[in-house]
Amino acid sequence: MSKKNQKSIPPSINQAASTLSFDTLKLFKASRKGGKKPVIDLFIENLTEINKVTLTSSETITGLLGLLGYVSAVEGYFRQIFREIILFDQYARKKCLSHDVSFGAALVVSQKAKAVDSLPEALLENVIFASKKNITEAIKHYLDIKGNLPDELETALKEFEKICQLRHCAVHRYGQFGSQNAIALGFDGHSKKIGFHICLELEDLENIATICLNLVKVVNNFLFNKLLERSAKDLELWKDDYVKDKKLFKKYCAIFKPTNKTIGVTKHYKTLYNQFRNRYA
Amino acid sequence: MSQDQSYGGNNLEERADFLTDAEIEQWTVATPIFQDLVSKAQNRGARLFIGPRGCGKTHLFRHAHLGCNKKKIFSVYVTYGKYYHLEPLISTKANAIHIFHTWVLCKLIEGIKESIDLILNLESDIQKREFPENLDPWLTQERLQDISRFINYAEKGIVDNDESSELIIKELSITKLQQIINKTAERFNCTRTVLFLDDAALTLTPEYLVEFFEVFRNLKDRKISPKAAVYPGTTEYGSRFHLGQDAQPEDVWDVDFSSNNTVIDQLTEAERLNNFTSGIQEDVLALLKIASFGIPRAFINLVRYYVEENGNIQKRFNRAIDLHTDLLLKEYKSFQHKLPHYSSVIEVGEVQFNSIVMVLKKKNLELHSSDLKQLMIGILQETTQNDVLLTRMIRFLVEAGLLFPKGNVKHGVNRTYDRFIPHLAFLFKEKAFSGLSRGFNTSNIINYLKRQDAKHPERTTLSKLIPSSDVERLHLDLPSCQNCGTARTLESQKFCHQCGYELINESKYQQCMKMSVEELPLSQWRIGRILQTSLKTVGDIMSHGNVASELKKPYGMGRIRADDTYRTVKIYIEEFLS
Repeated sequence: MSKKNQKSIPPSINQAASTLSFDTLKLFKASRKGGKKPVIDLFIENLTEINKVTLTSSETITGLLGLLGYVSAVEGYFRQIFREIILFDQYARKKCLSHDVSFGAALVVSQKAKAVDSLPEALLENVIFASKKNITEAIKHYLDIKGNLPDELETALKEFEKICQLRHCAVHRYGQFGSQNAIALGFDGHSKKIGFHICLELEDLENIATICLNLVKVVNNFLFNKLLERSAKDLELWKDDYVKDKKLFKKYCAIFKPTNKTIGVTKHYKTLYNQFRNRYA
Repeated sequence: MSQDQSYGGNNLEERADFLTDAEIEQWTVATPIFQDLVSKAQNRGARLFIGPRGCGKTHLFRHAHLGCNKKKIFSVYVTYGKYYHLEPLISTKANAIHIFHTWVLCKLIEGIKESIDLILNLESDIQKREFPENLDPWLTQERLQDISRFINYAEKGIVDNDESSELIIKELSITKLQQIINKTAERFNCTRTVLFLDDAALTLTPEYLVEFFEVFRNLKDRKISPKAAVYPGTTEYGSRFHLGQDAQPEDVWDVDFSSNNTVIDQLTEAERLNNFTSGIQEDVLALLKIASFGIPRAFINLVRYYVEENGNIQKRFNRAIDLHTDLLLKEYKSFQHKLPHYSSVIEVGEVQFNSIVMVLKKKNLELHSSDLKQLMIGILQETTQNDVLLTRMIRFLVEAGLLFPKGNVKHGVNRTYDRFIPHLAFLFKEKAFSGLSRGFNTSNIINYLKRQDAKHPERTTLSKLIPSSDVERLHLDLPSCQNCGTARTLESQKFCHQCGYELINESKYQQCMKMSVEELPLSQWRIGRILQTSLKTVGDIMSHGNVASELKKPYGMGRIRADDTYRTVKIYIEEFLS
């Protein structure tokens, strides 16, 4: 044993691995969703697609994958709505002027003028919209919306935070419940469950989907109202006449107004405009 | 009787909600059972007072509340009957439960203010009648106005992130409320507080019900004793509230007609009823008392129907029974509108109830030559426990007051029977106690009912009561997916399993508003007249700017009829949604 044999190979405890060089370049295709749909519609499409898979299967793994999918859909919504707002709203854009973007993103924009629309996404590259704290801070930091959040949004975020903790277990521990998650969810009650695996029944998945959908609905209404509220302070912007204001008002609506019949409220632009005028004028 | 059967004077007010404090004190009858319930309502500890509509819960609470003053107990009376106005929020606001929670607490603060006013009004020294402004910041004029506005907004479904509402939602908590209550009680030299929370059944919103009993459970402390009034049968209290442990149940409903000293007996003697009852033959009055099945409000109605009817005793009595049983069945069937997914369960429930009545009628015909009577049915428990829908069916019948539960009894291994007494007005209607006689002899019926009860209930099983074809059609009538039309598989389903879209549940409140005028408990004549106006649905009546003048438009609808119609509809809607 003391004498090393130069020709011998180290013991292999399992089968040898095969070689594969993965070409990531060919993975990316143009967005299947098309360009001009309202952000909330895209979220609904994503959510329903996940539902179709998760709500018809009783496998535990499908539940975990569904959980990741739902949170990912919410994150996607936030990124896109932030992008739209930063590009459209002068207050948000002004706030973002002093924020840094990566050199890579700046370089792409300098070479390709069209890429300027994706600059806000580069700005948000380090932001993770998978916790209540992050979302709250991002709203202030990038959209310049200050003050306490309304109770409805607080409630929706509080519930979403629970989902984010579960997602954390699913992403980092294959569904095993960790002590940090137990602390976040209430240690007294949850400490006994540390080390246990998440098991999501159909009803739980429906509840998770509902919480994610609720959050997006509440945020969508909240941001729409906040943007209009602060725009109303700009006396030059609005003419207090629907005919004259229609064009601008429709631009606000284009960002937030769902066309999807299951989530949309059948309100005409003029009805919405009158509500806006009555409330914020 | 005139063309308009539902038309009648309002000299007999059968709802305790509409009586003044003085009337409550003056018109309360003091039977030992009632006094015992009053003591329990005023004592320490949390209690739930259980009984169907009209059995006297509101009267009990209001009477006990007024009595607390004399005993140096600070008491607060609040009614939560308008909870259904907040029901649409469940599908429109993510924080609906928070809003409801705050609404419950705000209603209590308003109740505290009213209690303070009540105490101050009794103060002999006029100087001392001034409202103590510095009692608590939440009881200042300004805050009370904010609270009143919040309640108003919540009930209109327009709590819209305004500053004052947000502040109330965030700052008003159960602990804060306990402090306010204890501080106020101390200020008026009361050692403890009783909270009377009326109309707390919240049957249409199980989501709110769970939250309500969470508040109820947490409000209880050494010095605060909450009491709530609920219905039998359909009330679910949530996983954290344990009846018996968190609150003692007390039955307010009693169908004992062998005693001569019940609330209804005393009600018969009461001055306000005397003008009506004095002309009624003693035996008939005794039968009307039995037919009211322990419900004082039903007794007042029966007396009213009898007095307003023309003809001989038999005709008047039968007419009163017919009108009352029709009303009871209409109320039971109104569950189909409240909970449309239980439509078939409610239909089959009626079949079961009719079978019970027929089984007991047959048994009493058999017993006619003996010295026994049979009023009780025993349904084998195994069958009822097996199926959620069958169990639910019986609970609907109990909640509607058609079946009176008498607990269960064991007749051997695996032979436990749930015992029920069906509403006796239906047995009268079927002439179950008249033997083979086709005549109407009041004293014979009374003598029959004085007989001893049969030793055992009439034992049966659900399968004998309900034809198998009816059992087979029991199902949940759930609306299909609005997007792809796929039928739902579960009552609690939130997304379509086929297309993945969210399933929209229509608000029960909105469903009620869509109900046609033709379904209201009004005479055909009056419905015909209303249909001549622009008022076609319940929502039209409730939301019309000047409903009184609209109702007066058709020929024959004068001011009194119009007012009475509006009042009847309003009461019905409140009952329907309570």
